[in-house]
Amino acid sequence: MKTKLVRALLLVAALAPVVANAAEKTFVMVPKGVHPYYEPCYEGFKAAAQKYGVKVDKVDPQKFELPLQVKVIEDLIAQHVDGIAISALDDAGLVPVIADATKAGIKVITFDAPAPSSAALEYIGTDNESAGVAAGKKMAELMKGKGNIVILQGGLGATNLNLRTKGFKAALAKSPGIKVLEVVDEQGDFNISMNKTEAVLQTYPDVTAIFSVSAEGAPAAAQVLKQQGKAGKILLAGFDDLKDTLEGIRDGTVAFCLVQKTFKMGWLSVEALLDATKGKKLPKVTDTGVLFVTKDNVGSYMDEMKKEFAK
Amino acid sequence: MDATASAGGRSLGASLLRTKESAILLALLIMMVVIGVIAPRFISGTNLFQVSRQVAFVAIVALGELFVILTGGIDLSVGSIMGWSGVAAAWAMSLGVNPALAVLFGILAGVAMGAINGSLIAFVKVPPFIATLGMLQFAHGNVLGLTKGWPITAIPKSFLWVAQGDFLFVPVPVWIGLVIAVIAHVVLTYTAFGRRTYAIGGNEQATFLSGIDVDRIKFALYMISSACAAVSGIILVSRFSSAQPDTGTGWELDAIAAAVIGGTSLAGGSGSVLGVVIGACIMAVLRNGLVLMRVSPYWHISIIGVVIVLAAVLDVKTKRT
Repeated sequence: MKTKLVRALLLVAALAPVVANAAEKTFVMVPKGVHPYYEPCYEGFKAAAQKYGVKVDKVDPQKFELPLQVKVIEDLIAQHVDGIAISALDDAGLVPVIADATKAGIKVITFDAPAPSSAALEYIGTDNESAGVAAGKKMAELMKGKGNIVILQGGLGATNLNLRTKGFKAALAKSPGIKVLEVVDEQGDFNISMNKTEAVLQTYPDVTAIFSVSAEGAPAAAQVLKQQGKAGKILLAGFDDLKDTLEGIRDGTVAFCLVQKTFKMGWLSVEALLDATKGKKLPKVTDTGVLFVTKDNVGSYMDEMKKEFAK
Repeated sequence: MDATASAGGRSLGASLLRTKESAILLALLIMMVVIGVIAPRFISGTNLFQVSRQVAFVAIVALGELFVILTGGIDLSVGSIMGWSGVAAAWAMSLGVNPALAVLFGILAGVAMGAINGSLIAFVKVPPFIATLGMLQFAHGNVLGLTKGWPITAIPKSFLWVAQGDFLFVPVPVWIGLVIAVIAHVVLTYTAFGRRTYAIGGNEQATFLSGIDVDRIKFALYMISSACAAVSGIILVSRFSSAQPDTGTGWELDAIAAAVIGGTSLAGGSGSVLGVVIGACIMAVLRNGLVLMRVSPYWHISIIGVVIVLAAVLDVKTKRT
């Protein structure tokens, strides 16, 4: 009699966490691929999860390739997760799988990179065009309203990059003394960025500034400038805070970088998914904004970003 | 030069014109003249210096790839092995290991992967395409797993001359590439190993039946390929003053393209060091020229594709005559 009771109690004890977990929501973050850029996003995601008592996970597509991202999302649909936050590799390409997820009752939002044609409930991330404008304004200030600038872009087919370049050029257009010499495609590759920067310096001996709308452009260009003794003589700035970009800021080769508020993106994603599961209506877009990093705040900006949410 | 390279007795000039590489060499020279006329800065010392360095990085990998393609095989993992070896060497350096030893460590790390390729292909008889495709994933995945995507920036200043320095106005990587090219040419043309490599590509069955240990040679060839990839990947660490985890991604296509443009047959049996070097030059010159000629960046990639095919067609046509 006693053993039966004990066994029954043990069974309940074993099942209790399962039952408890069933009540706990599971949200999964799907970045574009394996990249350190998403680490602060996931940190924000996890931190918010802890605050709100949800379970989270992150599944990376092995490469920055659409079919791989679609497969990841299909797997998550099969696992019946409650919410998915996707950094969309493509807009139209994700429409079918996001529709499937929504049909299966899963709440889907996008962060960092939008899929406006899809059924995603909200986009939380940087408004790329206004980020470009902000960067252009700061660049024009540093250039004192005159000079020749080359823009590095990691792939000419990426909407978010094209929007940044568009905004950047629009801000520069307000300074008639500034001429945009060219937009160079460095295909998201460090070596190509270096090669193209070398070629640009050859092609345009009167270039006074370089700006990269993609993460790898600034550190690669910084290498070239350092190796040619032009560090600090040609203004250099770019998007994102890769480790070598920050080092460039510290040693003066890079004037500033634009940091997307990745921690905020992750945090707000959890809040949005939670609201969605409670039936609340979500805004279509939330612009998380950007932060400028210069020599003055290079050491502290990360903590500044997180302090917004540390409660 | 084929396995049936003819004996001497011709004047140098005439034999130069008759070499299979003359067609693509001419194509390269014409391209350089056209670019030089449209964009005179192309011919500036600084620019040629930089382009020659860019050629060296690709040529070194392509030379390793040549050995493998000569037997009708293929090595798709060279790009990933570049990244892997670079990260291995940089990791050692970041721990304070003497750069020379770190370089050796990096090369060994790369060759270890090549040995795995070689064993699978030569002894287990896995088709080269599959084995090296798997290695491409494996090596790159290891790099990502170990670095979590972060670059290694703690590279000692003493190591930077390897890619950033020059000797007698020629970049150091070009010297390294020249040494490798000379060694490769000597091995392929004057050693039994080289002749047997061509023979395997020409007719593997016949070579095997004549008592040559085909398996052992193939095993060695994939190690050679990975060694070359490792060297290039490690030199790139010096160029970037850091080990970037994505280094080498896609380079297998550049290496194979350079070899094929240079007259190497993917079926095996023919190809030369000179051809591979010219192939690498054509690609680097073209990419550089497109920027200098201020061609709209939207068209660069398709123009490069067209030229690659044209060069290959030119090569096929001249071989037939």
